[in-house]
Amino acid sequence: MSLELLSLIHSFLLAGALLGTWLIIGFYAVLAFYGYLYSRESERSRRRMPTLTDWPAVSILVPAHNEEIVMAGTIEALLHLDYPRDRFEVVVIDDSSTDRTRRVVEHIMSQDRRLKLVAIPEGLGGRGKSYALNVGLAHAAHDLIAVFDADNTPEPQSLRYLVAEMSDDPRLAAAVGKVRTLNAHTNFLTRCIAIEFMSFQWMVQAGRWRLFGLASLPGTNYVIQREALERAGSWDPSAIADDAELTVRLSQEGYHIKFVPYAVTWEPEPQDWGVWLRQRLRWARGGTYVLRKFLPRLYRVRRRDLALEVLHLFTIYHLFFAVMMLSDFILVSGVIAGIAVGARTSPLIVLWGLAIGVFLLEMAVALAIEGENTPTNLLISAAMYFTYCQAWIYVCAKAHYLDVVRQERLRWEKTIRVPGLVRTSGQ
Amino acid sequence: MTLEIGPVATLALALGALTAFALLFRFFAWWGRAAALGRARRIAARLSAPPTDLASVEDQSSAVDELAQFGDTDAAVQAALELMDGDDSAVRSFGIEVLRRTRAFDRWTRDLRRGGYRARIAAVEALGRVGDERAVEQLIEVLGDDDPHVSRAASMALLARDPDYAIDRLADALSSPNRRVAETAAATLMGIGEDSIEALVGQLGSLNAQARRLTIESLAAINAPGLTDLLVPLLESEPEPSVRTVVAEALARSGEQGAFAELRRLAQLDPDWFVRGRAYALLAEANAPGAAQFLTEGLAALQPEIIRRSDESDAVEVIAEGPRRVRAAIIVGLRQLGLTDEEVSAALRSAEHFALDGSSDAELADGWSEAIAALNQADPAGRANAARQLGEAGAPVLAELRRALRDPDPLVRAEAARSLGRIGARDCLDGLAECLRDPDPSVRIATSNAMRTIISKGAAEELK
Repeated sequence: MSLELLSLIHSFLLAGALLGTWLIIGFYAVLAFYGYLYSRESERSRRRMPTLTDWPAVSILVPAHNEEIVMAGTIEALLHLDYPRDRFEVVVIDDSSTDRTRRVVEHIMSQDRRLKLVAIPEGLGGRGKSYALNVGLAHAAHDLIAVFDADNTPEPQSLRYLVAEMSDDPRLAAAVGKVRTLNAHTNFLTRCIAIEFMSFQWMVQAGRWRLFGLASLPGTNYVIQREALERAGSWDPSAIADDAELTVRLSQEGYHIKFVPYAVTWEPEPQDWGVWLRQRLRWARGGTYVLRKFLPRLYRVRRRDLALEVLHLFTIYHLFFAVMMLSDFILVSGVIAGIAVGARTSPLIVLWGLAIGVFLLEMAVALAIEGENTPTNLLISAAMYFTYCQAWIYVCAKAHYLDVVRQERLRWEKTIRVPGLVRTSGQ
Repeated sequence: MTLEIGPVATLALALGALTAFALLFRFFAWWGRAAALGRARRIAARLSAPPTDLASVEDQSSAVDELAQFGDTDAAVQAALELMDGDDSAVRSFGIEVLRRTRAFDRWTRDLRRGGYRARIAAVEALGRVGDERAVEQLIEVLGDDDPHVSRAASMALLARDPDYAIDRLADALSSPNRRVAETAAATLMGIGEDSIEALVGQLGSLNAQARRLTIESLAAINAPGLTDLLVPLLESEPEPSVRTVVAEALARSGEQGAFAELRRLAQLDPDWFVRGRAYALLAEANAPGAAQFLTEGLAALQPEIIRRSDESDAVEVIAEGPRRVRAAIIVGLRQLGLTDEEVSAALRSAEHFALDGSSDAELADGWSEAIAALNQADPAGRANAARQLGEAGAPVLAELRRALRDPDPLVRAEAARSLGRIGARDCLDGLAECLRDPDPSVRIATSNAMRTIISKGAAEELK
């Protein structure tokens, strides 16, 4: 095969990769712009937050499986939420913990009547967060349900903001808050995760809400109406990405989910690549489960929200993966084969570089909205494309291998907690 | 000779000129404000003493008019606020009149609702200097501000002018519908200390439960003398469990013998399960004399009630209200008293043994005699209903339920199987196993669910 032919194939592949990249980058650039607009609007609406005199009662569900390290801090934060004391309860669902989780909860229970314990015994438990949440829902007393992960430290006003938004708009099934990284400064990985979360929330959550009136349920820090939840069929115990799956079903039922950026919770993220990999593998496989479940029904669905949500999952776990693979292949093969980047390919390389530039700009916008546009964060963002984003390729590849080749059964895998991380009021 | 200026120098010169212009502008603005303030102060000086004769009345009236219509409202407000710093009521009334006519109160109200941090703090400080009834009312509202710095500034501003009046208003604020206002007021009163005791004691008879609760918390934090004598009679008449809980906590903190006796009474007799559990836990926390024995006896006394109320439809254990909550609190207390896990487990086993084998079985079964009799009625729906009811009775009715497993009607057999599952009767597993071959599928399903529940419940208990 002549060098000329190789160069031609190379150019075609590069053009394909670029088209995909620019599709994603372009879409996210639009989302970043609308995310910025929404950040301005939401700050104004926070200041105009109505002072409800009669706050609705809320049941806060906290699924917990072997959470003794973080449980006490989370419960304390929840019990100190800036919400009328007699208008909320905290239901901890002890999912067959084998450590001292139950003991920690019982200790705090003896001091505060708002805390309830639902203990799933050994043999029935360990089936995942969705199952635990369904058990908790059966024992929740109120019609508004809030969900927090067992390692979260919500800011005191978080619940109040979420509930006020729900009361303001009866079309909403849920109001979702923002998740910030508690251990962002620990190492390179946690810095990347923190930037990823900020970008995701200001582009995908805020941008989509402003543009399409659509947001996704996160796994934590959200308030949902019991009626909507039950109409949608509660949490799917087979789904290991419970949040994504439920989002799609709520959309299918015609419900809206609003992103409320000033309702903030702080969460420790994995500090170790192994833990990160297992967590993201669960997300990727959970996303694929949702796609498999809903994609065949998509042509029958007339709801735009549902289509957008499925498209979003497809973009993250499939299109992005394919485009990154192709781009990497082109570059590496180009270097190895020593193909000179001639006059035909060089404009494409420029376009490729430009795409990375726009990608960085989008992240810089998200960082600036959050007030985290420090030189270190901007440098880390630049390094992320070549490191953290590349690690996603491995995650997606392994997820597809397990799903398609090995056809391995989906199994809930708990994220290993980071000990000693509690947010104090001064942080 | 021609002077040549390059492009960089031109740019630098332009920037320099712009900076100089901006500085000059700022200077003139500052100078203008200072001059206006000076003029306003000169007018206000005519108001700094009470009127002495008719001429001074007329002069002061015209000074008030001049300040109210003064070109620079900020300067007029500042001058009027300076009048408020004195103690003379006539002089202060001039200041208030100027503030009213310059609409300063409206502006502060607006700032407090929608303003930024600096504007809110400035408004709080100004209202603190005014310190009249209207200003105090506004400051009390600000106690509920989202920003703790602003609410703290408000609590300090309240005390700046007339502390006695502010203490009374703060005590009234304990019953505010805005919980944060009430809690910040309580925190302020705690910070004031002994001077607020009188106002707080006045709130003990409040009709508002939140006010009573916060009052007791505040008095306990101040360590008010004679608090135990004040609180014990309250327990008798207090209808609100959350208030009885804080009374119990205050009593435990006092460490007096009389207080412990009262806590024991609460632990055994209070109608609210949480209060009972809290009283047990407090006895343990305070390491009251004989606490370990009292808690162990409490555990044994609770167990029959737990068995009688065992109504979960599956193996999930819910600790929300009821005796299970008290049991959890006692276990926490026993651990706090230094008992090892083995000792706590032994106490639990002994309590269960007492409940299952003790003489109370017959009494418990007696309570269900109607349902047991209903198992023999002709109507299958009635028999099924009775079998379902007996699922709440617990161990004393196992024999009746086992017999119902052989009822000719599948509805009754299925209900009996479910009830045995709810009770968690391991002894009945053999009888249930026979029902797995029942010709009716609903009986088979109910039986298999019940067996799974019993087995997992047993496994969980063994693990414990």
